[in-house]
Amino acid sequence: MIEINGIGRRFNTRDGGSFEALKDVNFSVNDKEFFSIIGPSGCGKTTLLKMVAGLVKPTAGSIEVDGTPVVGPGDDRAMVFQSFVLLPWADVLTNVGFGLELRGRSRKESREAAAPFLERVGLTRFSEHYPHELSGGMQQRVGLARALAVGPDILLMDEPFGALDAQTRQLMQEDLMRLWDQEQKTVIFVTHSMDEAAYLSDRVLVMDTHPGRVREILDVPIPRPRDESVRRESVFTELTAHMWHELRGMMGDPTAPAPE
Amino acid sequence: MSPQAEGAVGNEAAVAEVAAPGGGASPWTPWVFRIGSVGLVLLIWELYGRAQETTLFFVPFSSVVGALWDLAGTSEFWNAFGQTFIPFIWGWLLSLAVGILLGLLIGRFRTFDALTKPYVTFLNALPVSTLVPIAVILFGIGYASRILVVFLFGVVEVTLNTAAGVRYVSRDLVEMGESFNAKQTRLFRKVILPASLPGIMAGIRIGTGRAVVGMVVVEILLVAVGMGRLILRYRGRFQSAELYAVVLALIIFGILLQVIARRFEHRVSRWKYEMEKVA
Amino acid sequence: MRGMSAKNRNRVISTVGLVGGLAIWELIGQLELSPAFPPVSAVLAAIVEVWTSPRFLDALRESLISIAIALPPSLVFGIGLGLVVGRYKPAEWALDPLINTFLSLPLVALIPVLFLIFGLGRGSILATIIIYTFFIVVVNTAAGVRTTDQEVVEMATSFGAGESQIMRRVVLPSALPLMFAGVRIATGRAIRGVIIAEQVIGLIGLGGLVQRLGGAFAVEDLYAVILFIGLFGLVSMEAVTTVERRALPWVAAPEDNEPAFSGA
Repeated sequence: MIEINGIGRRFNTRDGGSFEALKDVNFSVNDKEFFSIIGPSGCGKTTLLKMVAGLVKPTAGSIEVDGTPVVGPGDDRAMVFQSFVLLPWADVLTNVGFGLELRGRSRKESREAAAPFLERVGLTRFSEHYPHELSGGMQQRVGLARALAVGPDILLMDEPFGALDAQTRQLMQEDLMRLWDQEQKTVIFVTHSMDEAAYLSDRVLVMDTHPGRVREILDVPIPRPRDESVRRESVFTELTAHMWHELRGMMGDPTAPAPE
Repeated sequence: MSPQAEGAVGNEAAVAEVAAPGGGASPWTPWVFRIGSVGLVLLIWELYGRAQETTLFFVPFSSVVGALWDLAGTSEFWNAFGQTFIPFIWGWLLSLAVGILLGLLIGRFRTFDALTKPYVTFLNALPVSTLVPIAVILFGIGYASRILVVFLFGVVEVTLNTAAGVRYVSRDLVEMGESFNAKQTRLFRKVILPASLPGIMAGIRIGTGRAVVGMVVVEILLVAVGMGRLILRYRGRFQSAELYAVVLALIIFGILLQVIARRFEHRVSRWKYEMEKVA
Repeated sequence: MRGMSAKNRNRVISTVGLVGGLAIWELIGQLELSPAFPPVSAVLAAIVEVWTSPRFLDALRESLISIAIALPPSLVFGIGLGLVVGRYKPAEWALDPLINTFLSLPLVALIPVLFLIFGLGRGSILATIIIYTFFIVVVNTAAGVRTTDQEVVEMATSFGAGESQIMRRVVLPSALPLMFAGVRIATGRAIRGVIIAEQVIGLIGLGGLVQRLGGAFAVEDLYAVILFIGLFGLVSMEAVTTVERRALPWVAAPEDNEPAFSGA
């Protein structure tokens, strides 16, 4: 169980002033839940994710994982990045094992331990290839395998499919869902796409911006397992329409109807 | 002078890419032009040299090559080269060791960067040849001052390029490493250092070039021993062909070192070049 | 120092570093550990005296005259040739090997040859400045030309622009940033070239002054001159950078790029 209590984050700007990125954010994420965060650009959702990862410290409030406050990165959490962030100088298998290497294992050991995870994402054939030889979707699978290989309870995903084309993106969503069904991890998933949030999640946090705060938390009452056809159901379309309505208002679209 | 503007060419030659010819021309066309133009220059050199009434100032290419060939057979030439080469090696190695170490510190720690900035900036803007008299006052005209001069010539570029290589490691990569809770030393060894390697290699290549310049400066300003003494002697005796030959030898040495440094750089940072080809 | 922005904090640290270094030097000088390290106070006194002396000013004038004669034509022709090499492939194929060769070799090595051909006078100094600066300007200008976005050229062609118009309105502006970089680098190299050439001759200009002061073991004066030369180099390159920024307001300054480490 992840608890976000009264989180605030202030940044100092270059001209000496300050800017409040997040203000009084409160919510919690249940074990083994798929929890998405969606919001307009600049609402601080990535900052929030990095706080859970322990990469950024809040200037107000606290985050607790199973009762323990988060003070830095830990073995229980692993991150997947939008731009994949693979090591260009190492081959795919080494990349998958890299999280383990960073935690002290030898390269050989890490590669061995990483192999099953590479297989889990279906890229065993490419063990000795280099990242630049792979497509975007494949690179992200490597990033995902790397995160899984360290055995975290919580996966933190920062717009992982944002850099992929629409078709690859959809395939990756389906693959991720299948994987999540098997692995049973808690996932916090930051995205721009309402479709993606609705398709994948149990609950969606819609964030407001300037400063970033909780606008509302939506339930996704679509039963699992889910497949393609879910996207055409009325529950789905209503949900995404609602999200779009909220987001549009926040983005200052003058043609949007007045907020309800 | 570095850090360079994006793409700007400093003291080193631009990496020659085989130019893709416009539609219709064969892939041999650029090579024809290249060999042709170099050959043309050598030809002009030869003819103009022969046309001279006196060989005092300008000597045909063939004479220079002939003189070099003859010189290469003498032990005196190689002794002189050794006297030039030994202080070069020491000064060069020293500049690499100190430069890389300083560069790592400067690139990694902003405080250290700020502390050393006034000195590095000044040393970078100063023509290092002006420090030769200081080196002489300090160490006389023996090996020690020569080593110092070569060192001073090379160390600045190695430092600056290494520092840039470290400083501009992608923030994403560092964050990714941190997200896996890596300890600082492990993060440095496994993420920052490998990612900085291209910058460090560039620093070594450019620094080597500068060290060679330092070596030649030593030869022409502190002429007591080595190649410089040969140059002085041939100039005094108006043996122009021999003079050109010694200069040519120095030039060949400099180019050779550059080519080797570039090869080495390519091998170590191969992944970067592969990446850029795909991009 | 917590309230200060990072930039100012760094400036303070730099100043501390500078003052600290000078203090250590003063100490070494006072202890008379080596004739090569006179106390800073003696150097400062020498600065006041030397920088106003006629001997120094004459030498400075000589060096400046050499640069003033040799650098502008080198820049002009360098840019011209760079534009041609960058734009037309055959020119690139023909001249690239020559230019690259000149950049790979230690140009200093050519100085004895130049002295043989032009004699021990200003001619050699001018020739040195030219070979030091010409090729670097060509290469950077050519590189600048190659950054021209082909799509912009296509767009201009689609609106009926001819070759000279494309050159003037698309290629040239695209090339400007790297062209300026080349001019900036060339300015530094011109100073280096004039100094080393003058040092070899040993009689005229600032380089000659350096050699004579060194030979006379006049260390304080020597440092005073060296300091001037270094500062002069810094100032001239800053001057070019300032002109560059004014002329090219659309180019992002290099400090705007955020590097990976903002702490420690």
